[in-house]
Amino acid sequence: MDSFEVPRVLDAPSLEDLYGELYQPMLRLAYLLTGSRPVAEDVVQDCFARLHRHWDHVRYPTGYLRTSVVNACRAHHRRAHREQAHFSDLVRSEVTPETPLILDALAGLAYRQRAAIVLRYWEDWPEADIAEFLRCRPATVRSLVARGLKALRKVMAE
Amino acid sequence: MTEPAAGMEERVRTALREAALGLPEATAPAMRHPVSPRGSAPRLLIAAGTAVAVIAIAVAAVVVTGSGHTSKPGAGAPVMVAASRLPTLEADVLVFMRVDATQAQIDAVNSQVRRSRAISAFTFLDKQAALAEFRQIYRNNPDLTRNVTADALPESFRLLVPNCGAQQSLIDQLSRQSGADRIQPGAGLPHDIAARLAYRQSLPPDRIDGHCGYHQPKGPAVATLTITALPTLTFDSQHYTVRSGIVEITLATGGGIHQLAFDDSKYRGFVLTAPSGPTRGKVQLKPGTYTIYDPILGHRQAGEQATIKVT
Repeated sequence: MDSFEVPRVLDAPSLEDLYGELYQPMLRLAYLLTGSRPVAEDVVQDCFARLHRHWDHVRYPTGYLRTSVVNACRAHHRRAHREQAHFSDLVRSEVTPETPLILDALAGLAYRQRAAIVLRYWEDWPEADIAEFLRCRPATVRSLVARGLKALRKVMAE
Repeated sequence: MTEPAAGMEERVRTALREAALGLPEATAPAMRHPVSPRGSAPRLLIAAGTAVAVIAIAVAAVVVTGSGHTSKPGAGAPVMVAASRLPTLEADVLVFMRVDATQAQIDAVNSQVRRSRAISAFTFLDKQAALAEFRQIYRNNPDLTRNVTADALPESFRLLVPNCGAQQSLIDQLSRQSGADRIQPGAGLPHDIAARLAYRQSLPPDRIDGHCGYHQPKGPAVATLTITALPTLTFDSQHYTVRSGIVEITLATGGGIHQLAFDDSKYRGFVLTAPSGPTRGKVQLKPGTYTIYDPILGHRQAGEQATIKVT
């Protein structure tokens, strides 16, 4: 897992370096939030393009980028909710049998629940950090995660 | 379906990991919008505040690295950033070299910093950069800036150390460097920024009672002490007297931004800041004499220091 962590750097010396360093971690995050690799690629490219446009004014590029990706995935989620992304198409065959089911169920959740679950269980953030990130209270994060898990359990039971 | 929550959490974690790692490793494609030559230079210009600082930082990079380039971030290797990107108040550890440190001594610290895996980012200020920053900070106080020359200021490194637990051992290691004069913990990044950078042990909003910071003694204070810092860069007295026990100290400002810290490493992390806060904090003081000072660059040197006599 360690090799996939977003590097803990304050800032990269240049946009090119940042791009090389963060493209893959951001792609993974966007993929988990959208369920579609082509969409994730688009989102990540757009976010880097936006960072490029605002480069002169952005003090913490890594944080800016991460926020852009989560927000851009939310916009996509709104637009393409009915398309119902199918995670399972892309998942390798040697995964745990229930993984495709869980991922499809995840795709059906409200975006904030999904984002809270991905940040909590993939990025491994503490609740307080997710709360800052989603601009809500830690109690709300707990509730988003709990309701998300409950919904997943319900889908899995069907 | 009544399933323990922990079980579901683990299943979700596994599913996410399998999905994310199922994406084949790919090198990043070419950026859709190529980086224009505007990319980095204007950013430095704006961020550094003055052209002098830009030149100074560039010179610093050349002096320290032997090339004009900053290092590329690698696995665990610290990234060198412009000084304006890592202000004193946001650094986790501040390393001040002796004013007369030789180039070899600076190189030795630089090499140790670059090898450390505990450091995620760092910046280096040579004397000119320190002077440029000093002038920028005290631009409204010409009396102060007129009399300070670059030679009087030390070179310094500022380090960002995401893991709280690694800070003290890093300070200890760097203290063995012959050219290092003072190595002290800084205030660290603000909490929200630390969170956005995905610090696993994110730093508290202030260092008092925070995870990385100083822990206040429990119980009521037996005495209170209010210290006012003046715009002339002194405290309102050079000597304070207080009863032993738990003392609540309040820092007030008569003008400008000031901080208060103890020289004694036992009170590491106890930093009051006025007016932004925290302005009040409790310390357990035994009989004796303690030195307090303002850790903001240049303040202590200007005379913002005093003693507290505990009886």
